[in-house]
Amino acid sequence: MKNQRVTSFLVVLLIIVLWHYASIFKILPDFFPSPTGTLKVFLRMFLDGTLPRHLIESLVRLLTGLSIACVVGFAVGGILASSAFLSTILYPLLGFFLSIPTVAWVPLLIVIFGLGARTVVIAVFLGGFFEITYSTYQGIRTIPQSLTNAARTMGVSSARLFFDVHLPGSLPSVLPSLRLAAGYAWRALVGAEMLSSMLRWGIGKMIFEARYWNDLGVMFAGLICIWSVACLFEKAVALLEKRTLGKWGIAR
Amino acid sequence: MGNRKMTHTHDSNIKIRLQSVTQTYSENESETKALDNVSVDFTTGKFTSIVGPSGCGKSTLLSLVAGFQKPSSGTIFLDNKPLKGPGPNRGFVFQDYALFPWKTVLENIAFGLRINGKPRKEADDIAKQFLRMVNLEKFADTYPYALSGGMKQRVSIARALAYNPEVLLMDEPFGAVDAQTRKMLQKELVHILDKFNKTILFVTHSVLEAVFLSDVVVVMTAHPGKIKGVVPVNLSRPRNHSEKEYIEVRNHILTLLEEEVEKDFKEQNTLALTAQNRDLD
Repeated sequence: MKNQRVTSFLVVLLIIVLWHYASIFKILPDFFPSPTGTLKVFLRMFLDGTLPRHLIESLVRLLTGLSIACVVGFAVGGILASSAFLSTILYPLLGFFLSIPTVAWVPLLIVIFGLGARTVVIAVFLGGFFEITYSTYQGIRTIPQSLTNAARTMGVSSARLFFDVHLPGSLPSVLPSLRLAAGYAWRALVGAEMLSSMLRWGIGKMIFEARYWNDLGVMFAGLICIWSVACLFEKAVALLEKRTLGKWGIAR
Repeated sequence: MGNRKMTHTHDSNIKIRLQSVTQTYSENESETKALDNVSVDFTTGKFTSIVGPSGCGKSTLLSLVAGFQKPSSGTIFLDNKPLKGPGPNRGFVFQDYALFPWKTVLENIAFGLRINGKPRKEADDIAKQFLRMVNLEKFADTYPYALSGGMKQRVSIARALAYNPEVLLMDEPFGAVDAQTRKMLQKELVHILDKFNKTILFVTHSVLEAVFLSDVVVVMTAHPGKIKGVVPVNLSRPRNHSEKEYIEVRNHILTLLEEEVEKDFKEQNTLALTAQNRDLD
């Protein structure tokens, strides 16, 4: 594990060093910034407050859409798993929706919801919702029957069955897919921000606008932000897994 | 049982009554009869074991009494009332323990009390008592994965008893533990149940275990599942495996079972032969 980290770090360092010398010896085209140039742009945008603003607006949209996707996804997944009738009807639909990249919805959302932040939040929601619904449904279905029966024989209500058995029991399936869902949502966000032309702020917007000035430094700064947020999210899910599955001795 | 027929008498000694219960499972257009017209009574406060060859529907019977599934036909009575689904007047002990992995040992035991309206403090106190009863008070805050099979099953028994059900249903509870632990758990179970006046239905494939624990042993036949005989075990406890009467009862049950196993075996052989002949044609 530690070796892996050291190796990853060395690889990144090597790329930066190669990039640096490629810039110095003019191997790269003129519009291509050097590592120090990128860092300069990053720091300038960070200090003048534009980068934080872009990032915060994006994060608010991401967290709003993703939280709604989690709550609604858990609920819909729970309902699907508890009703054979509904799951027969809706399961094929779920497969259909899962197979569509969320960005493909964005033009449709723009027509319906306009070119503003609403469209972006809904795109983020769609990016997470189907994945979470699907994994909740699968997670609940794979809970051993005896666990559900144990709760039923004690006279559990359906609400408590959901919160005390189905919800925690589905986490081995839900948590890994929360990673996926966040990834899909994050991609949907960046894509939707690029396409929703009424927006002024947002990481996606920032990268897309930079193309007018051939400003690759800004684009790289945006990419670094996207990567950092993804890393943070990964860490958050890992922590959540440690606090739940890890504590319960459930191997992923 | 002949004079009972369709009208059920209000016999206060009968806790659970199965009346002409048939259970069929259909899978890929073929039907399997797990239970065929089974009528049997279980007496209040008695420990009844159900033994039979694998596939005789003994677990199905238990699951029907628990209310996990509904019989295809026939009626099950609990306290002379037709059974409606699962409920806290019954406790269930599963072969795979079925402890909630996301709850600590104490939370597992307290759960049945909590959902039946006991406040947290009281539920925890009662749960602690039951945990002490199975000698696991040190493990109150442990998660189930860290326990051995035998310990898990003791927690499971404590959990099933904690909310004070009148009936305890046990489905091969010691089937997944090693022989040594199994013996210890059997003794412990006798000791624990001595303190309560529960009606117990205990499914096992071990005749030895059934005779050691039970007041009554119900012997079942396979394909389809029927009641072969009901054998009372009138021996004082604690029982000794080497007692003459003990061995007599055990042999009686084994003879009943062997007839069935042989019949089943012959049938399967005949089936296999027919299949073979058909393939040769």
